[in-house]
Amino acid sequence: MGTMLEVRNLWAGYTDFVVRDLSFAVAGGELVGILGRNGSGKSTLLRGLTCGLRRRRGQVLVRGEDCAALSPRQRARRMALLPQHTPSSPGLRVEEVLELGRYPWEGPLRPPGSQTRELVRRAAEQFGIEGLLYRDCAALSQGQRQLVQLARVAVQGAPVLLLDEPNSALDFPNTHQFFRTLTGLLAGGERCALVVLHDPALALRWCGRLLLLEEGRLVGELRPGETGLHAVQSALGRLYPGLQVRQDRESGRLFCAME
Amino acid sequence: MKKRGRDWAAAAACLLLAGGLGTVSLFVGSFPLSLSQIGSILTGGMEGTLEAQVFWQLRFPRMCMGLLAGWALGLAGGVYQTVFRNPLASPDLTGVASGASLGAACAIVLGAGTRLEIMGGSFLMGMAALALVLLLVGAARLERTGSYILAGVIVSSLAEAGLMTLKVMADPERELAAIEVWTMGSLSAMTADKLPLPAAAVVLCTVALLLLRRPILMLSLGDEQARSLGLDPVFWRGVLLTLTTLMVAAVVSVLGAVAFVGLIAPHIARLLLGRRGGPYLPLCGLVGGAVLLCADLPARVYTLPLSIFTVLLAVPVLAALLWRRKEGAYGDDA
Repeated sequence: MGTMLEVRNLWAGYTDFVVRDLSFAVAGGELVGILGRNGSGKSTLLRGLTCGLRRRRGQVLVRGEDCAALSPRQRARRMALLPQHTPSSPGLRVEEVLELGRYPWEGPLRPPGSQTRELVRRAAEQFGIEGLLYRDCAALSQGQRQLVQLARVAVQGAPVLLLDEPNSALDFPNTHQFFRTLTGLLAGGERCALVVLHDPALALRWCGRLLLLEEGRLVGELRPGETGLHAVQSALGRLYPGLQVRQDRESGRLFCAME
Repeated sequence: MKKRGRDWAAAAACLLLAGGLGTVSLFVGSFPLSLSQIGSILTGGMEGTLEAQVFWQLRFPRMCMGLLAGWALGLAGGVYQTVFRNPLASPDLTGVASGASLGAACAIVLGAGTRLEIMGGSFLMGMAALALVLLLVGAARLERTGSYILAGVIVSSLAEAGLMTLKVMADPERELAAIEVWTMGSLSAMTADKLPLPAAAVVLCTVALLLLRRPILMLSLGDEQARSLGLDPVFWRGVLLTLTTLMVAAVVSVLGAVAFVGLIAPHIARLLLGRRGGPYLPLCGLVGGAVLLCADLPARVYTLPLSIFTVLLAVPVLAALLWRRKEGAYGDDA
């Protein structure tokens, strides 16, 4: 699979730089987790990738195209960001929120057509929210709203998905269902995903690769399937002091525990 | 079918209400016109009589302007409340009403003011107020919804200060009274020749705003989401603000400043419709038109300013809003 997203020497921040000199590449079909303590620059990294910040240096390439040169709509056709906070003002139906996901393709004037409605219906089914389509989005629970936002990102149809703590409000079965759906979306190799996570166990279970962030710099990279237990232990132990990584003897899967 | 039923019911109710009030207001006025007289005037009879002249030069334009002004204020209020994600946003927010009042007062005090001069002055100052708001927000380099509201408060206060100065300077007999009447809004000076210009502005801006429904809805999701969907929030907020201000300034320059219509019309429309999608924006306009016509009925019988009655109409709506707020009807951040 070819390189889908390439980041070269990215610096990003608000008044000061928070993300410092990051470089990495993500291939099509890859699910990459970003781990780091609070304030280590994970969300800033995602915002910096979408050029949503004033202070920004470096290059972000999607399929070899420099994103800084693109218009916001062109960029949104290539990268879909799910922000950590997604305020919704009362009065908008779930269906309407999902239809807005096609804005980068349809523009400000064209009303949503039958193709959009079909995409909306399919995404709603994928994320199990087809029963909520005519409900007021602001009246839903946090978790339901998060599923709506994830479906919106799927409707947007961009090859690069940037998800900031997509599971923060999801319950246990929904979290795993979400990762299963995401893995399904990535299976064709036409998309890749960069996911900020707070739970190292979840990251080890679902991500093909983990980027470890500390004070805005990349301090390590893990491949849960390939990196040995001891290397995983020492890398994660440095990020989260006191963390114990254990391996299940039968399945070979990695678990985490706190001392 | 169920999901569309309420849309149709709400639209029909608003159309009936606005249409009914419009019809009733054709019969009300200081000059007595009977039902049969109006019937024959409408079918082309009684040409050249005083009755026909009163009807076509005063009665009919007054009804049209009331509907038009209410539509413009209501629609602008609906756009503002959606775009700024704030249930208290209204056309007065950007300082356009205070700016326009200042412009009218300037024309009255400085040039003694023909009606055209007053109209032009208030329109120019209304637009200048918007330009100042956009400039302040730009200079602060902080494009958030709150910045616009704060900048609007600053500009409004400035305009109010200017207005107070002019009131002190004004000749208390003629000019001060004219300024006072203007700042309370009235349709009593409405004649047919004043209709075309604001009508053209309102129709043009309405078409543009209804076509731009998607950007309006997207801004209600907040800047970060709008941006991630490929919409430049700063650019589009500027476009929408300019369109609405143009429309509001055009009607305010004829009517004077009418309070609260732009604030309560969207709330009534939302209450009827239950959502902000679909026909919400045209409904805001229709409700605004109905509210203004409703306020104009007692205003023409007692020859009083409009704002007295729009405020009276607004009080129960705002009280209901206060009541609903405790149920979190406007979200956690509203």
